[in-house]
Amino acid sequence: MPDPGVSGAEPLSLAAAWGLVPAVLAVVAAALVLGTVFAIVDNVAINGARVRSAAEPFRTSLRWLIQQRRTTLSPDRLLWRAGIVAVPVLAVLSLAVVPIGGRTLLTTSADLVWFNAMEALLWAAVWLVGWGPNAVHALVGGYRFLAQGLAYELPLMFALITAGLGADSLRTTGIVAAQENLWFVVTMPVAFVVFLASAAAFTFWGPFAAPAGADIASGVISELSGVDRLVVQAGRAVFLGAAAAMAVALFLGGGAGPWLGEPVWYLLKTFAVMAAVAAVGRRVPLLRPDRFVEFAWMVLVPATLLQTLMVGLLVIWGFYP
Amino acid sequence: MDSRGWARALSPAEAGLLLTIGTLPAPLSEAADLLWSQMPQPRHRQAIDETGVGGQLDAAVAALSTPSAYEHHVVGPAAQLSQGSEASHRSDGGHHGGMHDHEENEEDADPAHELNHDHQNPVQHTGHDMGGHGMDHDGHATDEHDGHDAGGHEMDHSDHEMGGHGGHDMGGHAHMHHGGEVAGLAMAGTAPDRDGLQLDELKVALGPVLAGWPTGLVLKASMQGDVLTNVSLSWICGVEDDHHLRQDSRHRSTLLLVDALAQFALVAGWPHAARQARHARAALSSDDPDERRRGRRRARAVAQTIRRSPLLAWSVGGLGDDRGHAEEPDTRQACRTGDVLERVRALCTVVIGDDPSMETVPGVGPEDVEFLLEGAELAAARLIVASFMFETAPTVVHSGAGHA
Repeated sequence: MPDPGVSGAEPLSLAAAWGLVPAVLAVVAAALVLGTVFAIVDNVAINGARVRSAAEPFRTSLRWLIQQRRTTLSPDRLLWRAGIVAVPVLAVLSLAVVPIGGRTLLTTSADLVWFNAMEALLWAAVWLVGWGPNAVHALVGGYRFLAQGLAYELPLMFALITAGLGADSLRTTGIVAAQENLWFVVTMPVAFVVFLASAAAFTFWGPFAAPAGADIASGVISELSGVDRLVVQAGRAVFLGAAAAMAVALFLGGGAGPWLGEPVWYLLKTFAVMAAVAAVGRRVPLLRPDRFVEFAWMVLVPATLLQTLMVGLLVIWGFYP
Repeated sequence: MDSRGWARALSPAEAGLLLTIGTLPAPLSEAADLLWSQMPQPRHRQAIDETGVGGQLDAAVAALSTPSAYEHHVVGPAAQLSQGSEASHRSDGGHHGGMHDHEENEEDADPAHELNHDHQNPVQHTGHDMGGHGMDHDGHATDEHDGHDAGGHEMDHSDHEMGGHGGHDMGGHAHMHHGGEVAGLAMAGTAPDRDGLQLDELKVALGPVLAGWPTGLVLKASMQGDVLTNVSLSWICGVEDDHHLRQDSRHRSTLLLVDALAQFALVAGWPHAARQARHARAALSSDDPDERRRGRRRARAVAQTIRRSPLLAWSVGGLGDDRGHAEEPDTRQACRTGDVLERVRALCTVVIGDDPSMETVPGVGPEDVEFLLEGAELAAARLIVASFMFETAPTVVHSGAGHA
């Protein structure tokens, strides 16, 4: 098997280059920017491309900041709060391995696994947000999220690992480097689409919003108000932003591009992915989890496996440099 | 509301403004009070009447930014709130958008001080904490708070933690047991489920005011997991037509059809289509003939979108099929409507008007639908209810003050 040589050398992480505190602040700032941009794009898409609604995320956040935190009768306060706080924390942590500007905050030998782990921990967080308030709709929403998780998790893992396989590296910087000649989206279209759909699913957004569906009074988030709601909604937006950025690293060649600097290209591509996701995701009806599970296992799992197999064969034939 | 960029709240926690339209009959005003008791501050409650709706909405939003929007808190930067963000409406556009129904919008705040004061004290304190457990929010039935809050509760507890409570483990008890008390509320009991297993059951109620739900309709059931059993569906009160609906019957039925499509799209998780349908509805109820023509065009467009969507068909097809149903009441044998998808497509076809054999969709009563809900999951039950056009309830008893 050809060794592209990217997996051996330890690349310099942001934390090593700048010191830990500035690097963490930079990642948090990037998270806020990505989350805000996603919220804006999403709101414009919801409101039928009304540009005025771009201000809505700011107005709403302000409202949540000064709103009373509501409670319910005998909630499981500890677990509820833990779940609420975990959502944005996991979102920011997942961004720690996304190479915006060519470097990641952390460099582990298995960035892809790290990203996947943050998303998997979200299962617990979301379920606790549903469990905590001791309310029927929230709990039903929590269970729906787990059911949906059964559907998207395996295809998502296969999609992630396909990119790692093509680059012969689990480091995101290594994966970006391996796409110098050809973006992975060309040889891994299925993995690309599945990755983005899974991102919508693990943030229960758009057609995968059943855990927060209108039929159960917005489910897991139905009992949240004030700063609690702000934190959870912001976490979801950051997660979607981080996933868009990750998609750029894995499939769209990272910051590669002519004339403009690497971070500029990186952000432009990320925003384009966000716009595409919002435009498509807000136009389709909900995919009910009970139907989607079947589709995921019967179609998506085999499809992503075939994709992985195909990439594996290309690797053996030396297609990738 | 859409034209103001306001969103409808799906739960009281999300709401800031509660708008009620016209005079509410007693069961609905009780529901509105309960809803109000569960809304976080700052909040505002406003009754809208037929004169100067726009001005009243502006006033409601302005009120949100005043200190009176907070009852117990010292006011801080409340002024910033003025944009009020979203109003959430419950039935607003969606329903008989009009005056004499109650629509409950929820957003924030309120000067309507005097009004509130009555309930505020009682409700706020007891009510507040009782707040949101259970189904209530959407679902407060007039029926009992204890009833369902307790509800939410129980489920979890007996489910997971206290397996041993009351007849939990013993298969043999046919009826519900109370497994003990948590926070002063009875625990859920157990009952045989649809597969004959002994499972926890929780008494729930949906309605009478709920997003995407016919206002005034109440569903009471036991819930095991998210499966409904012992379902009863009934009107607790009817709603009066708004002035747009008090027109010739053909136009009236078009408006109701478009309302039904908007409601269905909301429940089916298709906010984009729901928004388009509400736009069409708003244009259709205009007095300007050009605007109405535009409304008809938009209504046809959204109906086409819904009728053609393969994703929707895949997602909701096969639910709530009323053919060959063992428990079907005899009265319904004659008018079978198929499954959720077929009913919704029939709605669309009538709106589009391209099939002369389909002039209208028959209205149904709760008793025609009830049997389909038995054993349905919560999501399916909501879709089934949303796929029918209900005959308006016999307008009731307490239909408030007459209108001009």
